[in-house]
Amino acid sequence: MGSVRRRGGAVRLGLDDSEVVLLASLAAQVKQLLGGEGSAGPVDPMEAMLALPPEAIEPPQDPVLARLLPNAYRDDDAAAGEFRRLMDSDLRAQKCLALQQVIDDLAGAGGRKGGQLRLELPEAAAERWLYALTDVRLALGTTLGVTEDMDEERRSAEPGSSRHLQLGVYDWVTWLQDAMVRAVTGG
Amino acid sequence: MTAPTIERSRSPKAFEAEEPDKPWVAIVWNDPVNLMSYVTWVFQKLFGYSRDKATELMLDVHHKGRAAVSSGSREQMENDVARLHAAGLWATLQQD
Repeated sequence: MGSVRRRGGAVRLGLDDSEVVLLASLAAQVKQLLGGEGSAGPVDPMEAMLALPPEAIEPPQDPVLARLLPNAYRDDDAAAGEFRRLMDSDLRAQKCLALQQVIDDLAGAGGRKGGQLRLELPEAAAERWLYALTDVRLALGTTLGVTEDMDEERRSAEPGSSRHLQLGVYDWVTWLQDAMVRAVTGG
Repeated sequence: MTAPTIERSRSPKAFEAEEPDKPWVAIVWNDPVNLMSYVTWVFQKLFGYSRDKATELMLDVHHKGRAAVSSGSREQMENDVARLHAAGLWATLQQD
């Protein structure tokens, strides 16, 4: 089981090998999704700003993408489409950068101690992790259709079913994110 | 129902135009995924709110389903909504 501690201005993580593999895989899947439907492809944020699409952009069909890239206007489709035209590729690029930070940190030169990967994340990196973990949780939560009553979600899932396993993964990412928020805020 | 005669002389277009004095607001909507601790931190980080103010807004989102978290020009609110979307919050803007 992983551990999260605050050390100076940094967040110190200890993750089991299975947790490293799981989290890297989840981050890569969400990043791939953001580079898929409706994406202009891999572009850096500056390039994205300079090459705006000429037409308003429709909301994504995929429910996970629709949650990651929500409408900015509730009752004005034209304004929402124009907002997407201006912001969509920059928003995707920002999200992909945060997810890539997690992927790189998990694959990088962290130390090992007690059979765990040890990472010391400076505050800026820890903040990108928080953004990336949010998108991972939004993707899992949307796929699972979770409600605010997670106790009921767990009770109603058949033990050993894939939903039960996925809820376990969701719970673990939730735990990690909450612990990291507390480490970042000192709360 | 009636309307003052003077307004009838205005073209329909004038009614549709935005009223420049009315401020725009960025609204955050409740969702079942985002953590209370995280949402509070995002409000502090993006808007420089105190922990108390950020917590109050987070609780408004949680209990009332939505809260206006900032106000200003349309351009400023589009920028705030973009930053909230980057943080994974469900946000929209509208004229107050």
